[in-house]
Amino acid sequence: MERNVFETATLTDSQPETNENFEQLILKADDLASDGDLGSAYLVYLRASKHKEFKPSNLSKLIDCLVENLKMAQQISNDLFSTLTCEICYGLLIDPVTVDCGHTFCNSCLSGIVNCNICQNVVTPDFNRNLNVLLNKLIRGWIPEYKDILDRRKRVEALLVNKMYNECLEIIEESLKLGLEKHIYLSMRSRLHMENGRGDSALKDAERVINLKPNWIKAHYHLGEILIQLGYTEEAIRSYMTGLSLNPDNPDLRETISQRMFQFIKTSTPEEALRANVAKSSMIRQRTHIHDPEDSIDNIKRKLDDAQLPMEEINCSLCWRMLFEPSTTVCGHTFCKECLKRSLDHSPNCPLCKSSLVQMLKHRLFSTDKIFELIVKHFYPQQYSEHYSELLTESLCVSGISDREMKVPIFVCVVTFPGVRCPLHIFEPRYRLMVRRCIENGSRTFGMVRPMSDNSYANIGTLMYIEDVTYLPDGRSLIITQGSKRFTVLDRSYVDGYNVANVRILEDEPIPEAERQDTMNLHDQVLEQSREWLATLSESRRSKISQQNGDIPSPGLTEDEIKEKDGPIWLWWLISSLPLEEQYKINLLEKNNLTQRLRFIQSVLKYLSEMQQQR
Amino acid sequence: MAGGLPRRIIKETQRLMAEPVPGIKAVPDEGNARYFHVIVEGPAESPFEGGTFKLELFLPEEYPMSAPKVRFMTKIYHPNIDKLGRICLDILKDKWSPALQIRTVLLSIQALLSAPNPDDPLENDVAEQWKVNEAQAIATAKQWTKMYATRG
Repeated sequence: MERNVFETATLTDSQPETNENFEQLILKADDLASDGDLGSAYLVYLRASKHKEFKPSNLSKLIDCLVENLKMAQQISNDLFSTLTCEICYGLLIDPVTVDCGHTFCNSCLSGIVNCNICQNVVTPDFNRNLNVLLNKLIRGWIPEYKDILDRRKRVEALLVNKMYNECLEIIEESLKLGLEKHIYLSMRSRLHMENGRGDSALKDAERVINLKPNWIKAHYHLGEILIQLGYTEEAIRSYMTGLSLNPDNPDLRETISQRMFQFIKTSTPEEALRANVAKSSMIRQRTHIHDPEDSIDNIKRKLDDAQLPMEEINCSLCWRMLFEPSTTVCGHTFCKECLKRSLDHSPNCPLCKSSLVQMLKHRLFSTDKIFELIVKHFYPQQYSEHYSELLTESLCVSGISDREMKVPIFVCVVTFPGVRCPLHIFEPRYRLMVRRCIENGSRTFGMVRPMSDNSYANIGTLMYIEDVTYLPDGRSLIITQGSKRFTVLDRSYVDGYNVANVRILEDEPIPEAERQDTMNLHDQVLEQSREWLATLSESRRSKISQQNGDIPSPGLTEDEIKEKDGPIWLWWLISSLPLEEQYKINLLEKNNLTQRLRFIQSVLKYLSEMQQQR
Repeated sequence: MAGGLPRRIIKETQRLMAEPVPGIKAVPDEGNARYFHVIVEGPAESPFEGGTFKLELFLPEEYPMSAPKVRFMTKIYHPNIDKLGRICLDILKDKWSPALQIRTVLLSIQALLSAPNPDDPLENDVAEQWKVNEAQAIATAKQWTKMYATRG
């Protein structure tokens, strides 16, 4: 109550209150708007508008709150016809083009589009996009009227460009009689009326468009433009707002609304504002619903209900199975996302037309083609979900067999150790695939073993955890891994070109209580000796070691660590850093007894120190 | 040793059996479904007409991401096929695409027999002969076909 009295008091004073802090005003207005008191909020914005600092962007909170109030339950229909609708023109997808984010629009609708109309993701401008080949073929097959629709649109566009309005009107009237994409032609006619100064007719057509396509943002925007020109600013803003409420993230519409509201607020007096009631939430205009049948479209819809799609038509040309998570390239070819990625591991070109896909690879743009996914699910819902569960088992990475046995992918490269870091450059196609799978299925783990001379690999290795991945533009990657458990290979096989193995975890035998003190003493001696050895190394050698293995992990051995299954980590770090033959390192990895490892290293350090003294 | 056979290889094999390429027989080995015994008939109006040529085709673990490995087992006098039976064919090397298949590879090999390409030789002597004295080269090719690729 008190607030209302206060507002009424200020209403009589139309002078800007110079002593009032501008930012505080905006904050207050924003707060009022957030509380839902849009009427009061509006009046405070109005006061703020008398300040020099006032900018359109100051209204963003108000716009948010208005949009929130307006959000209508949008009808989401899942029939095939709605799937094949372009979100920009709300007509049938004509010459469909799929963009970076996987959404598809008419080719002609895309010109000048910077952000996707649906998800606002950037549409990379320098891609030379082709029509979505398969989708185009399917739509043409399903809709016999396709060519007629396409021709009409092209003819009208050409006539509009050449300003041949009379000829244009002829096609428009003809299409309206046919009931083919009425909203598009009414919208055009509305524009033509406007250009010829027939505001009332323009307005009538624009409203019919909204009746036909209440969710079409462009229709609300267009109505707003007409209302502005006819001087109905408040109503125009309402119309923009309704449009914005359909997609609150649309930056262009937001910008337009900010500008218009800014102008409106700046030039209006409080009395006008109250009368206009712009900020009230009951802003949606009550329109009478004109029945505007679209005969031909209804026919098309009915025909689409019986549309067929043989599975061969939507087979991926790489795996020869039904498309799964379809992904469409810039050249317009559709593959399973995983198949496409695997093909790009080998060659950066489209498997079908050989166009370069380097840009796609560089930006790692592998979005699911949303329409295709809907189409495949529409016709083969059961098969799609079965395919999904099959793929999960096929792309196997780490899978447990028992607590101590598991199946892991194998990377044949060098000897690595528990707790020790190992950076890797992944370039071979088969390992690109392996690493991708490790990351995608969440395990981030593979087994690392050293190659043996007979084209095979060592029996002992270390599980590696992928801590970080950096992709290079051509699809190679740099990964940082860290060793965890050691393992013994039990059984070897292949998957898609790389090795997999059943492995058993290898752990140290527990040290008997009676020997623990001796082991602790031995450990302390070895630690001291290794510090001495490290001190003899040159600066460059030391930095090379820390580049490869990271810094030495906190050296020492506590009562707890002696019971650890891999012993102290710093010892593995030392083994990794010592100038030892790889075979010796494997032997050390295999030793499941901390005391033995310490003894061996002690002898190595002793030898190194003697060598040092001889020099 | 190898994991299960990918569906695509199974489907390709089924289709090759059901609708074979005319003039080509490709049968998977009993013990190894990735290894095919192939017999190609010499194309009509080529120096290899009347001959039947044995080839081996192997699908590596990474197939179809990498190309099949194909080799002539029967001796053949051809500028793009060497003494060991290795074939110089771009789609078997850098022009391979996983959208190609066993069928397209076999068709390409058949086409290579119809149209030897001495400008991209694998066997230099043969290619030289083909360029210098084509008639002689064709005669030799016919002779070899009779000698090595004709049964009985």
